[in-house]
Amino acid sequence: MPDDILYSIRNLTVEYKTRAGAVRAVDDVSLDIRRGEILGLVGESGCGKSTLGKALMRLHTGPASITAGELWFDGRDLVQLSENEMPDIRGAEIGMVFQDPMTSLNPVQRILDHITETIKTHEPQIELEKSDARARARAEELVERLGIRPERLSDYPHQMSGGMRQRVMISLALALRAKLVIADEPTTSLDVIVEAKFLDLLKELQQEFGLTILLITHNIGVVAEVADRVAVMYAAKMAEVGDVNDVFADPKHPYTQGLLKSVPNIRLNEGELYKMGGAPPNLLHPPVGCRFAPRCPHVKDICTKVDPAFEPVEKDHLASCWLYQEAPVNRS
Amino acid sequence: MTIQKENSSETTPEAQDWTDELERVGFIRSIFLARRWYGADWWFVAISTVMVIIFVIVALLPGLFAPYDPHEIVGSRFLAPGEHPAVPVLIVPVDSPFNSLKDLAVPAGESRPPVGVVQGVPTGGALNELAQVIDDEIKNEPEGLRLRPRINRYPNIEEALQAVADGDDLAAVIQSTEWEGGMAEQFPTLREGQSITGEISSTGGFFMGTNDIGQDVWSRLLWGTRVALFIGFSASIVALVFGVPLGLFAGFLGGPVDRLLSLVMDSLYAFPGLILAIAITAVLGPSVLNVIVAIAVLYIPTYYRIVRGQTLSVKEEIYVEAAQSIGARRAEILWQYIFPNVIPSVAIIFSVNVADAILTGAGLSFLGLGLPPTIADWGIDVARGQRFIQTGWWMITYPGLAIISVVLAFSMMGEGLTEIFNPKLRER
Repeated sequence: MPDDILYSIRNLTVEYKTRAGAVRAVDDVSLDIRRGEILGLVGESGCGKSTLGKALMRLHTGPASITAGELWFDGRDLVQLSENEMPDIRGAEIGMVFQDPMTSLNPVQRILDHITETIKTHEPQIELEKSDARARARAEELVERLGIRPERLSDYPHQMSGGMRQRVMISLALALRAKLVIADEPTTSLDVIVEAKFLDLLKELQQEFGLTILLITHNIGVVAEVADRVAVMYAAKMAEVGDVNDVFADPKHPYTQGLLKSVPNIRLNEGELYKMGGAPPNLLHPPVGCRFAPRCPHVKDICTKVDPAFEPVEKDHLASCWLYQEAPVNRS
Repeated sequence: MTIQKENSSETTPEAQDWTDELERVGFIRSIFLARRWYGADWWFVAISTVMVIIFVIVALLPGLFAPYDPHEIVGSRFLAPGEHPAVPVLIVPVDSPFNSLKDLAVPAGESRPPVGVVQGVPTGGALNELAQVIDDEIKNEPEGLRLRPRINRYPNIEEALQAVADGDDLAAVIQSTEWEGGMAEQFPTLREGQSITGEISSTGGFFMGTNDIGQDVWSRLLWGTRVALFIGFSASIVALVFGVPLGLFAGFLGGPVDRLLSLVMDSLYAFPGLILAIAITAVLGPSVLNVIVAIAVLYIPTYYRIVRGQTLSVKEEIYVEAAQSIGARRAEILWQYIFPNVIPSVAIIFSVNVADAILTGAGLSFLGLGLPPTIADWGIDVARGQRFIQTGWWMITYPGLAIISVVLAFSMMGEGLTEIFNPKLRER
């Protein structure tokens, strides 16, 4: 694994066992997250992007399980670790910021306790008497950096606004200098102004701490604003990955093209906004071949028969589409 | 709001100061404003909390409030509330030096003092017996006094008393109730001396009467509070101590553990409560501890079901997932994230459960299965009073009212707290 890659997802498959059968919410996905970058992961609801985000920390529960693939994080395959070893990774090395800040903090714990518990959980070597004072000092420093007054540390979550709670969630990830922060739609429930501030903060933190951030969102505008690279998911598969500027300037995958065309624009006249036909496939019975084929304007014969490989189209720009690949000759 | 403004403009400067002060006092102010926030439930909680506190104080210190020992026979049987006990008393002339039976003792050889009684009533026999007892006591003392009254029998009270008034007899012995019921006015030259038994006071009745063996109902009621609350609290605490952890584990672990525990708990829950308690106490035998065990077993499933349900829903909250994402281990999640969020509902069931446990405990004693009959307990008193309901209504009524008010107080407090703490209920 090259040194500049922090997290390498290789052929990951996550399945949900349901009564109707196994649903592959993440199907044979490969993705590299580079050190110090903000990688935007976009896709529509139900395409598996949140499942992927949770699987990166092995946080998926209940019916979901990783059935294939490797998760190389900083030289270790997380799939091979035991359930008892995972808590050492979670929080300390990979942090997570959840979609709904209103419910992602324990209502009966003070903000301070959230942060100090995190610190103490992972650094038991600090002697008990000192740990409280030291953990508090660190927590104060941390939230101050995030724009929360230190005296607010003794507040309960319900006394804080949504933006503040989201910043507290970030501070939990930062408390232990996590290398990777997975932000799962962190701004969905925030209003536009708070969202803009929060994104600025993410960007600052990334530069200041050399943080690597996986930003899961369905808001292309957010990705355009903060991300360095972007990954587009469609129906549990990776459709396209590349530099933000490349992908936005010259989208390769027809799905990405449609997605970018359907972003509302103030200069468009009425009726000019592009609408992608059809609906995402049912993952219980995914279509044979390329999953986007039924909706694709450039569909070819091969598309409905064989699934395209996820291959580089240009340098650092991958897409899974038959438009850029040679159709296999030795087909029977 | 407009009415309030008018009021405040009309108030005098001093009253204004006072209300301003009230505005600044956080705690008092919040109590005063609580009614506005919580509506009628606030009064429910306030009144019932005061009642509960009073009951708890009485239960802790019944000796402070009870005038008599609850087990001691302190008066005649079946005295109605406020009724003076009918004890045989000595009636003597106003200027008589005699006050008690013992005063009538004379040196041996002197003429025996004449004492009048009414024919055909047991006082004459009682007088003889008591005189004999006192005589035996004093006969060997150096004064050489003997007490052997000469008993004159009269056909009715008036004649007996007239004989004393005329100076024929030194004293008469009649029932104190008869003396107070009109004789005192008829014979102004006579006065009431002591009871001839000397022990039981003839003055002052019993506030709630006496029971079938002459124990004070009021004292038994006060001491019964201790037993009732002890059973109620202990049974609920035992049930809580077992039910809450089981519910937490079952809800948190899920799977076969959950299924097995739920099966056991649901089968316990399926039993009619009192029947199960009767079965358990019938097997274990009557004692306070066994009653507590029986009732606790009855209520473990209640805690289990509520806590398990809460755990299942809290487990799915995002903050629990967030806790996992910061590396919290399972034990930490259970103890720091799930348990504190489950406590409020446990506290509410607890107070309702205490009421229920008191009721069940009383029910068991009523059936004669719960406590040994020597204990002052409301259930036992109700069962006892039930046999004499026609002659002595007070024996069953007061313990019954006590059970009702304790159960009501705890239930009202529990329900009121539920209303206040459960925002979902309040929105309706």
